[in-house]
Formats: sequence, C-alpha cells, structure tokens
Amino acid sequence: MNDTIVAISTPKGFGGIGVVRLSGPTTFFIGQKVFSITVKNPRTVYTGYIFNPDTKERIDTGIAIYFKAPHSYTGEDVFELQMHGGVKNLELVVKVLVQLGARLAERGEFTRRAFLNGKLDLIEAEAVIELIEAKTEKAVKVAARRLFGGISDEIFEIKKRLLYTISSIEGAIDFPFDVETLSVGQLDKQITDVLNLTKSLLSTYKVGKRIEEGTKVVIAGRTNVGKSTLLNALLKFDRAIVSEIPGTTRDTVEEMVDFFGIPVRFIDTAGVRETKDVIEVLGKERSVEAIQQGDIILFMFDASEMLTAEDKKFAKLTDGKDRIIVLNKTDLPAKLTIKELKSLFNNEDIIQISALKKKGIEVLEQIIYDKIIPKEIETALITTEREKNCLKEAVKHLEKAKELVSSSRDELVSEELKEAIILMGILTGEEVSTEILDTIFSRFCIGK
Amino acid sequence: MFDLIVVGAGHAGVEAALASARMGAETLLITIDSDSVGWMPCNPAIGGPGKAQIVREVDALGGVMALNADATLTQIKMLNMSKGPAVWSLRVQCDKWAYSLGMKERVENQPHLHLRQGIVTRLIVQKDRVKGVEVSDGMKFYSSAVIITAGTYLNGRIYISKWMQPAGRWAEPPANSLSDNLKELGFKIKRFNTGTTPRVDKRSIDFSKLSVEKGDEIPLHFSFWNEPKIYENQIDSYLGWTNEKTIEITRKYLDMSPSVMGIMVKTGPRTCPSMEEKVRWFPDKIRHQFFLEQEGFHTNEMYMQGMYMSMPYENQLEVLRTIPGLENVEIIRPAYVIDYDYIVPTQLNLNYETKIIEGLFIAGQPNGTTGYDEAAGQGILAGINAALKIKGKEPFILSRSEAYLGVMTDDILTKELFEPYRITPSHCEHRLLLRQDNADLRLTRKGYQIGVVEEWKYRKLEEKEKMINEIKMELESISLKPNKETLSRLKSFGIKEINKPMLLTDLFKRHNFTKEDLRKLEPSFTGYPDELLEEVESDIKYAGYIVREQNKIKESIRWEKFTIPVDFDYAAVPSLSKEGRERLTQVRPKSLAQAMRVSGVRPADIQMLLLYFKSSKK
Repeated sequence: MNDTIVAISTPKGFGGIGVVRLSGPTTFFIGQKVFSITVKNPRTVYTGYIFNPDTKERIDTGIAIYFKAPHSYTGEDVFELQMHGGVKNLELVVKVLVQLGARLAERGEFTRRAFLNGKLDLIEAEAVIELIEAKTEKAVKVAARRLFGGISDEIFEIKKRLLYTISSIEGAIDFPFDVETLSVGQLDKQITDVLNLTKSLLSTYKVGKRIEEGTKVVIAGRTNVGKSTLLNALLKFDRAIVSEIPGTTRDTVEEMVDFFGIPVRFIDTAGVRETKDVIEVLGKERSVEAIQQGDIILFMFDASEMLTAEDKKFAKLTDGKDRIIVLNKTDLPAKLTIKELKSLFNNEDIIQISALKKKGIEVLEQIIYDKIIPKEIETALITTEREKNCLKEAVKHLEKAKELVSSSRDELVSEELKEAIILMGILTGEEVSTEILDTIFSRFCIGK
Repeated sequence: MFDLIVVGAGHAGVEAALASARMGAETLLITIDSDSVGWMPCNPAIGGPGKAQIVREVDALGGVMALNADATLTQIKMLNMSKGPAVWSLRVQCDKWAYSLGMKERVENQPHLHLRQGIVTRLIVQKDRVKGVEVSDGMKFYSSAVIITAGTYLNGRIYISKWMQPAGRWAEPPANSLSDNLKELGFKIKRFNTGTTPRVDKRSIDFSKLSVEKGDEIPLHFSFWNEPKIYENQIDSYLGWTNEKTIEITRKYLDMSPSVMGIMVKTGPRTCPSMEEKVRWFPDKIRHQFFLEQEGFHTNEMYMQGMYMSMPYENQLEVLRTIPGLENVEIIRPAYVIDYDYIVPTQLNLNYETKIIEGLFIAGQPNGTTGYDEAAGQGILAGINAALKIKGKEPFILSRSEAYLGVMTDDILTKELFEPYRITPSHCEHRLLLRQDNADLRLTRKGYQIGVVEEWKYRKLEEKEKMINEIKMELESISLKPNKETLSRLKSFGIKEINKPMLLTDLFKRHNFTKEDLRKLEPSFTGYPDELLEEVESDIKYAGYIVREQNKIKESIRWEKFTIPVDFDYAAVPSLSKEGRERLTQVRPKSLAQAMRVSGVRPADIQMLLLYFKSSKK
C-alpha cells in the first residue's frame, strides 16, 4: 500500500454531486495541489474550486475534506473532493490527479485497504457490498446489522468460549500436577453450548440468503388450477397470459418484486399433465426444476374440480419443500373439500382463495411473508455461501469433538476445537488467503 | 588448538561437547567446577509434558540425558495416561549426586573430549570471527568455534530477601566478565529471574499427614537404547496442601521479596510462581498444593516442589510450619532466587550460531529458556551444528513439523520472550505426529547420517522399523468375517461386533479396541513387545488427524519456500504496523512462514508483505 489510489466514488452518470476520493501516503500532497483553498485541518469542510495546476485551468467548484490516517475509511490519509455530478468534469479531475502521481483504484480497493488496515473485518467488508447492492429495505437492514458487527460479535463469543475450553484442556495436558482435567460432563457441556451457538448462527443463513439474494416463490399445481391468475394477483398487474384453456402457460414465467421490503421472485410454472405436445413437455421439465429450486412452493388446487391422479402425483414433487397449500376457485361450487385435501397433506394448513375475485390474497401474502421471515429478525444474519460453509465445517468439528469427549481423548478434542477456531478466523478474515480476498473485493465497484 | 570449545558443563554443555566429540571434533569443555558436571541445582527431575519429548529426541540423536536418567533414577512415572498417547510424558526423579557423577564419567571417558576447570572471562574475536577463549588465570585456548552454555552464570546474582551475592549458583562464582564481553561485542542482553525451593530435613516431617505419591510399577525406560523394566526400590514422594494460615503468614512477608523491593528483575517463569506470587496473583485461593521429593538415595534433603520463596530464612520456616505434617520442619537449605543475563535469542540463526560473530554458538539458559531438558536439547543441536560448521558441512536444522526441538528453536528465535521459555505440548501444533514414542523413528537415521549417532543404535533402529512394518502388514492381511464363530468370540472378549468383513487394522481404529483385545483375537501378536504395538496403535488411531496435519505441513512448506532476503528493508513497506515492522526488523525471518510466526506481527502485516513481494515481482 505504498501508493496513492484515486477513483470516482459516486455512480457513473449525471447526479447532484459527484465525489472523487484519494487514499494513500501522498494523498494530501496531491489533493491540495488541485484545490484552491488551503486545507488546514482534517475533518473540516473547505469550499473552493478544483483546477489543473499545470494549466491553471479551473474545472469545477466544490468542497474538499481531508481525513488524516488512521481516522479514515481506509485507515490511510484520505482526501475527498465533492463537486458537481457530471461525467466529464469528474473524469477530468481524476485524470489530473493521475498525472500528479495517483493510481486508478482497482475494484474494491478502498475497502480492501480498510480491511488490511484493520478498519473492518471480512464480514463487515462483505456487508458493505451488500449494503450497496441492497434492493429492498429489509436487505438494507440486514446488511447494516452485519456492518455494525452483529455477526462479528457472535463469532467473537464463539471464539472466546472455544479458547477457554482449549486452554482448560491444554492446561491439564501441560501441567498435570497443577491443573485439574475437566470432567467428561463439564467438557461436554462447554462444547454443547458452543455447538448450539454455532448452529443457531448457521440457521440464520436460510433467512439471510432469502433477504439478501431474493426468495423464490414457485406457484405449482396441475394445469388450469389458476396459477397464472394468482401470479397476476400477487404482482398486482397482468404479467401472465390467462385463459380457460388448460396448458396456456407453456414455459415458466418469472417476475421480481419488492414484496413488503423483501426481494421476491414469483415463478409461475406450466401445469403438469400427461401430454404429447413437445413444447408442453419441455415446460413441464422446467416446472419440475423450478419446484426443486424454489424456496417456497404455493401448491394450488382447484376447489371446483375433483382431486385427480395428477394432483396426487404432483404432491410427491413438493414433499419436503417449504410449501403452502392453496385451494383456489372457492367462489365456485365446491367439489373438493378442505377435509379431503387435509387428509392428503397430513393436516397441513390450507389457504382458501379466489385468485380471480382477489379473495384471500392478503391472507396468503401474510403467510408467504411469515414463511420467508419466521419471526422478526433480532439477530444478525449470515448471508453468503462462504460464511455458511465455514460455519457448517465448524459444526462438523464440534460434533466430532463432542463424540471424542466420552472416550477421554482430550488431545483430539483439542484438535477439533482448534479447527473450529481456525474456521472462525477464516470467517472474519483473520486467516484468509489472498485468493479469497481477491474474489471478495472484486465484487466491489471501483471507488468503494 | 581445538576444533571447538564449550563454555559450561551443565545440561546444554555436556550434550553439546559429547555430540561434537562423537562427530570427531577435538572438543574442550571448560567448567567453573569440575565437581558439578551435569548438576541439577533445582528439582532433580527430568521429563514431564513437552520435556519428555525433548529428552527422547536428544536420546534419538545419540545424547546421554535419558541414558543417565535411567541409570540414576529414584522414581519413574508416566504422566497424562488418562489421555491419548500423543501427550503421554515420562517423568523421572534422579539421585542428584549420582546423576552428576554419571555425567562426569561419560564426559571424562569420551574420546576427543577434554575437560578443564576454569572461568572463561572473554572471547578471542578477530574480524567478527571467534578464535578462542581466555580464562581468568590468563590462559588462552584457541578453536574454530565456541559454544556458550553458561546457564545462570552470566552476571548471576542470588538473593534471599535483601541479602544479595554475585553467584552463578549457591556458593559458585558467576561469570561476570564474559557477560560484559558479550555486551562489548554488540549483543543485546536482558535479564530474567528464577528460583528454587527450600530443602527440608526428611526426619522433621510427619508423613502421616501427607499423601503418598508412588512411582509406576510397570515396565518403563527413558532411553530408547535401554529395555523397559520395572524399577524396584523407588523412593516415594508426598503430596501436601498449604492452608489459610500459610497464606496469611506469607502475606505478611510479601514486601520482603527482592523483586517487590525493586532490587531484582521481575521477569521469572509464570509457570513456577513462588509462594509470594501465588498469594498475590490468586488472592481467592485458600490453599495450594506442593510435593515433597527426596533428592537422592543417600540424603535426607527433600525438595519442596511448588514452594519457591525469596523471604528471609526465619520467615520461610514460619510459613512452612503452618502446614500440617510440617509443624516441626527443619530447613537444611533455604529457598533463594537468582537473576541473570540472557542474550536475546533473536540474535541467533537457526543453527544456534550468532548472527554477528561467526563461529560463536549459544545454547541453554543464556538463550532465555528454563529447564534441564530444554538446555540439553539446544546443547545437542548447537554441538552438532558447530561440528558440522567446522567440517564445512550443511547445518542440521529441524523444522516445527519434525521435532519438538524444531518447535523450541523456532519459538525462541521468532517469539518475543516475556518470561523464561519452557516447552509444553501446547507449543507443538504437530504433537500427534511428534510423540515421545517415535522420536527414534523420526530422528535417529538423520543423526546417523551426520555421524552423531553410533552404529549400534542405528542397527537397533532398523530392527525396530522392520518389526513395526511386520505388525502393520499382518494387521492389513488378517480379515475377520462376521460369521457365527467370530461374532461369538468377539462377544466373549467384550468387543463390539462387526457387521461386515473387517481388517484387523480397521478394527484397531476404534478408540476402545486395545492391544490386549488384539492379542486375544489373534494370539500371534503376543510375540511383539508392548511398545511396538502401542506405536502402531497410535499411528492407526491418529491416522485421520495425521493426514490432516501433513496437509497443513505441505501448505506451510509453500510459505517456507517464500524466502525473504536477509537484508530486506521493511521500511519500504509503509503500511506495516509499527510493532510488526520493529519485530520483523529485529528477527529478520528467513521466510514468509517464519514471518507469520513472529510475535507482534499481525495477519494484515503478512498480507502487506505478500502484496509488496507480488507487486515488486511484476
């Protein structure tokens, strides 16, 4: 980090203001050169104009703020020039700064420097990306909670407990005359506690991922039960073509919406029925795939028709998935009763609606929402695959440790616990290879 | 003219001198008192967790510590037996006079080794190269290399409360001018302290109020080159407890400690707190345990493990007499403390040669370590490396993944010492692999190849290896089928059943399947010695973990190969943390792997270095 980097930190395009940011050892020297007013004190706003020192040509008027290391975002000297949010004026300023010795920043380089200077840990760095990329209010909340160290705190607690247990085991191995060996019961309790903490953190992944990346809600059922009508009702506009003819939807239809603050992708599938129509067969395969990949399945039935063999066959496909049984067309004379349906689904709750008449839609929406976020999120959530995998591995080692406790293999228990600690270190970025860092920081836009 | 001069005949000096002499170097061993070769001024005990592994490694390299311990022990015990074999650790107590005499005999009869009495006052150095030593009577000895193994003699000062006397040990003169000479030569020197317990008269103790601690009555041996045997006539030790009265009286005399009075340096081993420190550091404890251990077959002096003190003699007596069983105790030798110089060991290369004076090696306590075992380990490595250097051969360096000796070397060369360094199993990340039982399999061949291990020991190793292979092959060739007959046999032996054909080796993987079970199932294994079966058992039971460790070793070798130039300018990497840069500049690690282990260096510093090297290579 022996050079000074520069980038436009606001999005490319026309806006109210545009920010050019410098970070690195020669930041102040370079920044001051292009600004008309002497920036005497750090963290103070100065108004002036930005110019090219070689040609003395004025580029724009604006504000300069200097953050002195280590009290800055990156932990290095940072100089910010805020000016009008055009494209060319900002590019011109950057060009001038590069001529003065700054280097164009790579993707995520500002945050990378912040990480390397210990200003944030890896989870917090990832939260920065998530915050920038957040599509809904809920996602902003989750990212913010991570940014404020929610996860890091929990991992710190897990690490603290692991260290305590390891030091008890190691103490007894190192100094058998002076340190008493923990009893099987004590050791088992300590490990069980930390295992539960880790598991509960891991369990937030499902929800975290749904909020962060969007939840896939798949509408499934045999042909002509009204799936496309429900899709349109949920989207509040006519996205899918609706007709009386069974098999109208030939392919899956998708739409992403802001569903009460959560990004949700509703997917309407082609109904499943025995058919020789090649296109419909393809659509059917896609339907099956969509169901397998869906987070939540809205499994629909037609109240005005008897239960068919196809219904039952289809039911098997959704077994084991997070599903909501929806009985549609309740405005028509009933041929399929709730009771009958309940016996098929082992007394799962059944929601009665009329997609066409928009009846019961609000109740259904509430139920979908509750399925995505089981209860109000109180803890920080883990959201990335990387975090999930680390925690999953850690759980494995802790479970193995628990198993070893009973056979008095304390030296091996210790090995397993140490592996778990290493994984926690990887999680927060204390132990991480540069390859992983490169991958994470390349997700940033330049200037962050 | 000698090849090598070793200064000091303690545990480091003896192993160093014997090793170089075994390798054919004409070696001069100079000691302040030729009556106290291999003397144990503190507890006459050898081994214990971490230390036992070192002693076995010294033994595997042809050293004498384990042999001499076997010959002179008064009690033998395997510690940590309730845990797995990776942390089993042998500990013996010795007759301290017999031990010293045994060492003297070995030294005096070693070809190429010459013993002289004298106080070394200065090194003869020309152009940053050592040429020999000068002793106090003016006599000069010349050599190609010198090893300093001066124990606590460098500017040593002993204290009992405010009474102070310059001494290397009780009643033995210190080596002050040598220490001053090292400072003049440019070495960075710091001070540590340590202490010893009172020795009490056995006849003045009521043992009925203490609990007996007996030695093990199973076949054992410290040295690989002795056969295991049951030791008869072991001396019992005793376990006792202090009480609230003891603590109360001790508290009265806290300000009589020389470290509290400010006349002595404060940094001693935290793992051996004195009675005064125990009272200060653990104010909530209402009692502390101690052990009484007899110092030899022909003495009534008993060492009081755990009762280090530095208050005046009469106060020591008052404190001890609060203890049940010690109401009438008589002290023969009072406890005392000592502070001494050590040469900050980051000034050494991996072969124990100093960075600034060529041919000068340092081993043992002068490197800031504590313990006979640690000293012996450094001694043998320094002796071997000095001999290799004289012969113009490559240095002998053990890595952290090869031996506890490698762990210790790396630790003292890279970590900042805040107290005297003591090895324990928790220092060793590869301890499942580096066990006391396989030190010979790990090191003896290497030792033989460089000429420090005798031929007959090497032959014995080969036999052992052959037999272990036989056992492993047999285990892999015999398969049990889950038929009626086998199942009923398993049941009758109380072994958990099998539900598919299974090799014996796989059965051995089970944590509760022992070598006795194996012998019951397959009597042919009765012919193999216990130890070899245990050896194989450990290898099999730890196999999964060992594979994991070996993968990590491979990973770390990647970083070991990432070398940093010795003269690298850390100031060129501006984003290094202040402490990280200072420590790296001081230690000058040879590789990125070593840099990672330097204390005070943060992971972010390593990232910086890596980025720097990556970008400078472009």
